[in-house]
Amino acid sequence: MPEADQKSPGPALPADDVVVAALRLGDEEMFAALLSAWSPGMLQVARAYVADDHAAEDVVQEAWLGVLRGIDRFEARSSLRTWIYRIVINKAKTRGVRDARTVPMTSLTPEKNDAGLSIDFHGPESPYPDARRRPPVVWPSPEGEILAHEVHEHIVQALDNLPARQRVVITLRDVQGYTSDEVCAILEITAANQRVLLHRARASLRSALDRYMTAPSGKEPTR
Amino acid sequence: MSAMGCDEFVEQVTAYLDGALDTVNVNRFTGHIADCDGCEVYLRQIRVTIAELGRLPGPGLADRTTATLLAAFRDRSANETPSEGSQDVRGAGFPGPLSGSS
Repeated sequence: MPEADQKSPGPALPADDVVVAALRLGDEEMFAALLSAWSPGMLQVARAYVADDHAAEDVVQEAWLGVLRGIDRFEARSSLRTWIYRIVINKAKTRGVRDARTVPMTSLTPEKNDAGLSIDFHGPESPYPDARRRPPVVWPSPEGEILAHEVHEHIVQALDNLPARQRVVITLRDVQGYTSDEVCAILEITAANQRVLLHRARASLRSALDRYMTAPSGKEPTR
Repeated sequence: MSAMGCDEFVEQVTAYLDGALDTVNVNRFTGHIADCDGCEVYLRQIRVTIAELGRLPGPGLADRTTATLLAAFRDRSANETPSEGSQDVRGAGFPGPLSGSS
C-alpha cells in the first residue's frame, strides 16, 4: 500500500499498478496528475545537486522524459515514486558534476561535506571548545511576531548551505513528508545512515532558525 | 541505567522522534526532559523547525516545461500504441536495471 502523500494537492493518486497501466495506455490526465504531485519535490531534490533553479528545472524535465522512455519496462521492484526519484537524483548528480567543471560553484567546495559536528547544542561538559554553551532560549511565538515568509527565506538559505546528501534527506523527510523507509529506498542507504544525515541537517536548520529568532535586530522593529 | 545527559539527549533527538529508541532509552530521554529546561526547549525548537520545513512553499514546474512534457507524452502515446497482449510487462524477464535510471 502506498504511503499517504500528505503534500500532494488534489485527490490521492491511485495504486502504482493502476498509474503505470494508465501511463502505458496514454492516459494524459494521469501523467498530468503525476507531474503536479511529484514535480515540486523533484525540483527541490534536484536543487541539492545543481547550481540554480533553472538547472533543476532542466534536470526534472529530463527525468520525466526518462520516465516516459522507461515506463514500459518498469518492473515494480520499487514503488513508482522511488524509481522516479532515483532517476532525478542520477540526472541531477550528472548535471551537477558537469556544471562544476565549467562553473565555479561554491556549493561543491570540499569543506562542505557530511563530516563535522552532528550536534549544535552542548551541555557544560561538552568536549567541543567552539560549541555554544548557552542553553537554548525560548523562541518568540510564531503567531504574529514572526513573518512566515522571512522564516522561509532563512530556511531556504540554510538548506542551500547543507551538503547535498543532508539536503536531499531533510527535503524528502521534512519538506515532502516521506517516510524513513521510502527515503532509504530512494537513496539506497541504511536507516541508521539516513537518520545521521537527517539529524545533522535538522541541527543545522535549527541553528540557523535560532540565529534568526534570537537575533536582537533580526526581526522587524518591535521596540 | 544511568541518567541521560544533555549531549546524549541532543544526539538522540532524531531517533526519538522517529520512534527508533527502545523503551529503556525512551524513558531515559523523557526523564531528561523532566529535569532539564534547556533540552525541553531544544526539543520544542526541533519540532518547530520540522513544522516550518513542512510549510515551505513548493512551486511546481514552469508552465512551459509542463507543456513540453505533456506534448512528449502525447507523441509517445501516438508512436507506441501498446500492441495486443503486451500488457503484462512486469515479470517478463527484462534483463538488468532500466537504462532510464542510469
